[in-house]
Amino acid sequence: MTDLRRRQFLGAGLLLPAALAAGRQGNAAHRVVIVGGGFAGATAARYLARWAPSCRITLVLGRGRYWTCPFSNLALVGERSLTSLEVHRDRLADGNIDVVRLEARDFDPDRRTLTLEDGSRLHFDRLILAPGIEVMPEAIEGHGQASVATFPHAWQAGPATAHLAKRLRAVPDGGLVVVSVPEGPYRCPPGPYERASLMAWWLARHRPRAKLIILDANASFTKEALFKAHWRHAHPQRLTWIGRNEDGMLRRVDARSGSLHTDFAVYRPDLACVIPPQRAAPIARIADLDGGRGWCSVAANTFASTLHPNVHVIGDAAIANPMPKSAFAAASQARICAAAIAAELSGRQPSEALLTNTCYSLLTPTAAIAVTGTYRGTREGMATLGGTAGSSPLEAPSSLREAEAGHARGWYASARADAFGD
Amino acid sequence: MTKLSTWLLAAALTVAASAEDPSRAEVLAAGCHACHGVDGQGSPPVPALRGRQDIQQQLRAFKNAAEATGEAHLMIRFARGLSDRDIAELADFYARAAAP
Repeated sequence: MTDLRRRQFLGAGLLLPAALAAGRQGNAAHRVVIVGGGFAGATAARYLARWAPSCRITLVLGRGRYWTCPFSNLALVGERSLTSLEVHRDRLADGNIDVVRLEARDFDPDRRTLTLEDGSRLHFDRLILAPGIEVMPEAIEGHGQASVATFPHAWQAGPATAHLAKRLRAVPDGGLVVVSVPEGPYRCPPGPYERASLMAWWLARHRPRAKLIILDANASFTKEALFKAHWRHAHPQRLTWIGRNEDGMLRRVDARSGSLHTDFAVYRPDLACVIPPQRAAPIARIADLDGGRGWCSVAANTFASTLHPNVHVIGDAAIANPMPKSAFAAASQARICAAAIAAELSGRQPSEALLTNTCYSLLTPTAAIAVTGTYRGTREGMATLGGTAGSSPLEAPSSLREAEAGHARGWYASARADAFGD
Repeated sequence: MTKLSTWLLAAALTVAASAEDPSRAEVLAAGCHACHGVDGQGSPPVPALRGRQDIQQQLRAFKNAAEATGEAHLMIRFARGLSDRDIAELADFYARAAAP
């Protein structure tokens, strides 16, 4: 049996009778089950393995392959290969982390069991849910899963990214691209504007007479002044942003004609990248964990659910305002959650939680801007620390933007290695 | 209690704590490793932190900067979120860590 298969077997072997037997060993056999192996789940698993070494950690990854969303906009414009974004998560099966390659279907917060797709159950002392988002095309009139290929979003990176890249290359010179932004909260707040910037950069080089319109369901957005200054300078005739107050809200799509409809206008673009509204992935909406709101309320010092304290929710599925739904924030939450669980399982109070976020956005493949914030998480909530929130300077030489693109690459390599060991 | 036994007790408590529980400095430092590489080993062009003796001086300079601007604007903002105790603990943590 290969090492990988043995670990999968061990993971799958954590069925109820075995788990109950293990429970008699006392503290040494605390079981933590983690669902989701993106930046949040993987970071939580690796830090918990380090900080609570006697815990038995089971990481439920599901069957799918995984490509990082960060830097996937570079793949859209041919500046990075999709292959380079794929994470080989088998390396996560290391030390005391067992990896399970089955989908999680259900959990019971009272019995403390997680049910997998094959009907088997894992018993847990603590469950960490890091399942990410569910994209909801059907929330837009006329749209649905069947028309996603017509209006691609690629908001979960992978083959969809390659499809969107192909669609961009098919836009004729003189053609029109529309990027539609959903009302917040959604994954990666600056992502749509980074994508529009990089698409405009590509169009300028390869389809110089083509235009790009951003239809925005929001009246304002993150790093707005920086993005707009760049667009005015680099794409004055090419890129137009239409905000919610200027009829930017997408009301309806027509899959047959490929048209987009706002209150007062109809667009017939060559490429309509429609980013749908989102909510927490289904597993995080079981047992009323989202309180019917679509996202899960948590204690900001431990990321324990406010409804089910043995269930923690980290990453995009959690409500962590004013932290945004970013990979950086997800990893920061994962470390704090791991530290809190390590403390609590050894009978200590979790120490205070200091969390950080930085979102880099590429304006071109070699120029970036950033926004950052540091937060204090307490049982009462998440608060931004004074003087820590802000973005790159508005007036800056191109050398600063280039330096920040370098910092973005440094962050990506570091965060990826820290989370996945890959 | 003799000085030695007090010391032994303190050492035993420290060992007990570190066996199942990350230290405060370890959790703080993990936040730095989002950008500064696994265990602070660096992630070019983001510099390494391990083994450095100038962390306290650097973080204080960032924290005391009048304006968050220039290439260090992010570090200036991060440092503003750190207390004097945080800075001292991080400096000690990296000073003791073996350089990469």
